[in-house]
Amino acid sequence: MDSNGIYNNREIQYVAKGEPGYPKRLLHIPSPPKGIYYIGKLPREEAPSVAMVGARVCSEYGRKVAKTFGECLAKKGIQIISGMARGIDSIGQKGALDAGGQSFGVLGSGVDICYPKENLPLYNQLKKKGGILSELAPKIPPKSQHFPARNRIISGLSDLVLVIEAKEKSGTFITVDMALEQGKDVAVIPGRISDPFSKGCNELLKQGAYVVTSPEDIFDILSFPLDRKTDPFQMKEKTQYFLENKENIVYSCLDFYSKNLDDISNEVSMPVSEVLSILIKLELKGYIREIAKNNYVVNTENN
Amino acid sequence: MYCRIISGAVFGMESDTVHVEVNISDGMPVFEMVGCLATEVKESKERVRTALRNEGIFLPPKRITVNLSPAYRKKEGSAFDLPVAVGIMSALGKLPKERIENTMFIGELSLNGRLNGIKGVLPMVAKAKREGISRCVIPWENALEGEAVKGVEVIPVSSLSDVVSFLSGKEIRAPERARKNSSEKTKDMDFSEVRGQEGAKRAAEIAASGFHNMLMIGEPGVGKTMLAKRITTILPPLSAEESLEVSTIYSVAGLLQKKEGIMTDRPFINPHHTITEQAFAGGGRIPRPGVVSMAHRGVLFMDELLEFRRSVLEVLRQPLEEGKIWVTRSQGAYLYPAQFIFVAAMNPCPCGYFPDFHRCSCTEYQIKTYMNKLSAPLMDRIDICTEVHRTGIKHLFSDKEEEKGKKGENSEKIRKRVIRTGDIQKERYKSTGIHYNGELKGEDVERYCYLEKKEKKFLEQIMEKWNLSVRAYEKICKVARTIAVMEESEKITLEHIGEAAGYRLEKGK
Ligand SMILES: [Zn+2]
Repeated sequence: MDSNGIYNNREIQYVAKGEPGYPKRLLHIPSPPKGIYYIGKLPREEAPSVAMVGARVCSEYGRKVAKTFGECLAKKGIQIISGMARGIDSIGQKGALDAGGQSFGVLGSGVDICYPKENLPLYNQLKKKGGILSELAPKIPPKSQHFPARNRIISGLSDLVLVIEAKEKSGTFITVDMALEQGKDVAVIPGRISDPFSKGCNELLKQGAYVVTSPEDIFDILSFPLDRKTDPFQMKEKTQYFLENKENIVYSCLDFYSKNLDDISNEVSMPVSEVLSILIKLELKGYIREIAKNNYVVNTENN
Repeated sequence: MYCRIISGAVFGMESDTVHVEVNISDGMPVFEMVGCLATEVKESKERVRTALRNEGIFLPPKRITVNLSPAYRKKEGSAFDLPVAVGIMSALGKLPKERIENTMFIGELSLNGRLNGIKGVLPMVAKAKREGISRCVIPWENALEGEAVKGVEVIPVSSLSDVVSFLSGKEIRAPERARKNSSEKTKDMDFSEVRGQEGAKRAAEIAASGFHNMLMIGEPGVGKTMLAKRITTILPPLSAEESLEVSTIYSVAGLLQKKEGIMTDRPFINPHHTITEQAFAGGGRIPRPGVVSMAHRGVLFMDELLEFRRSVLEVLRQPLEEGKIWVTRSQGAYLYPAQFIFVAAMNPCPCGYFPDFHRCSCTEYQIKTYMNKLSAPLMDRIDICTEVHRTGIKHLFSDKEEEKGKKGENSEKIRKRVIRTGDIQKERYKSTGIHYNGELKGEDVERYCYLEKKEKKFLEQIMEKWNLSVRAYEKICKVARTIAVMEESEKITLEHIGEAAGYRLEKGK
């Protein structure tokens, strides 16, 4: 009953392998899907596409990187392929869509199921501005055993797999192995050697993956016309904000890695009582975020 | 051959005098006890008979009737052994009657005539004093608590023969007195031992200053219990009245003789999470106060808060709202005081290590679900939430070089400040029934935590940003009030509100 996409859900379309419109990139991977269900569009063949992968739980640094790369790549017309999972996946895709670009979500369930539920806004945006894809028939619920097969489609649809953050021995390695098997390039964002979220990334770099420190590096790898611009990662000059002097001092000591109240108070040499009220003001203004009780990071949404 | 002896009993927290009447008459030789007695009181017969025999007094083959009045109250415990024995000796004419008059007798007898300690001596002696009774004969074990009541002569005795000697006007040889130096226990505990944790220590001082309930969040083994224990060392010392109140609870529970006569230190109680509802709330066949009452005027610390049974956490509601607890039993309900600073601790996430991403891989959703296990009524009663973290070398590349060697302030210094803020609050709330900011509710918050325009607007911004409830608004106000008092400021400033908001429990949206 699913061969021709005859569903009461009129949005869902289906293209079988061998039919016109079936993504050509998938023809070149081992065990290509028999067909693809989709809502919205399929990735364009002529446009370059990049898969963004990374941890579901990520650091503020990871958020920032995913968002910026999503935006910058999408602005250049690069399609962002990802799994719509929590964390890096959805942040990168959202970045791409917000920048007016295209993004495609490949699901481990039927295309009519939004998982995780909290990503419904993203899901709806993808339907309109990009596409939702799956090899699984509609109504099939997400199951953990679907995800490795789903990941092979993500890397299969991409020209390059970009790993943003990965812990040691994480699931990201499975995706990377598949990408290599499919002959795709793997590029990695390096991190601090002490950072648990970057352990896996640094490991991949040691194994010979591309080092990526700016979106331009990706254009290079994809041999894309260059147009070097300013560094998107430069934090805004603190003085650009209309912050009071003391707020400035406290804000300056924060970064993408969380710091607790005591550490901040020690660094800025102010009593905790004073620091706490300054932190609340900075939080109110949206410059920082409290990720755990009395643990603060610079807010990526605002930087 | 009739005799009437004064004794006492405890009903819940209340104590009352009980009269033991003994009548010895001709007739069938029986020994009977009447007057609404529990089993252990009826068993008194055998203990008294044997103890008397070992004292050289044999019960005559006559009809012995013992009545305990008032008859409408159920009498429990073993404190009536001594008055029954004395009554019989007196009725047999073996004791001078005038020495027995206006004297209260309480104590449990062993078969060899030794006198054992009993529960509730303190409130019974206090009752004797109120009733104008001039002397109390009590077990030696309870000497210290009995003597804590001033204005009544207390005669501690260790055996039935002591009692006989005393009543015949002879000297009693006094056993060695082992009076411990009071408050020895807390003296070896000090706030300065808590290294680092400046944020949590500040939160603890605010909690102690305004009697606010507090929650500590942090990974296992970072010193949450250590910090909680030391809160009692910075609280103001118990007043004479409070001390008597707390001691009475311990006396009724039978825990006082192990302590130093009367409680001068604020209690610190930390029940294990496997505790039963009854042990927590109080009750039992012979009613005794539970853990919540043992913490009265002190600190009730519940580590691993989420591990406690739901029914136990449910019990907390009444004490947190009203400062007391009703314990219902078949014979009636007893009211026990239970006003304490509630200090709780929990992990930040299911694995316990968030936000240390080296060890924690819990998802945002898991963490949220975990925190949501805190029930709303409980959250409503917690004014301050703080983080306790690992100090010292975090990991190889930590920004901080090593644990700061500097010692913090000692308890005495902090306590001085806490007493000062307490005095200011006492003055402010004179004749309102309120003692501390932590007790403010509803309308009182509006009245006593007045915010000026700018400050009100700031707090409204905070409310909006995190979508906070009215309850959260009140809590921030109360804590800000305490911080203002700590700085001896009449006005609540933006800084006070900011800091109070930083210690809020509600994470908001
Ligand atoms: Zn965790």
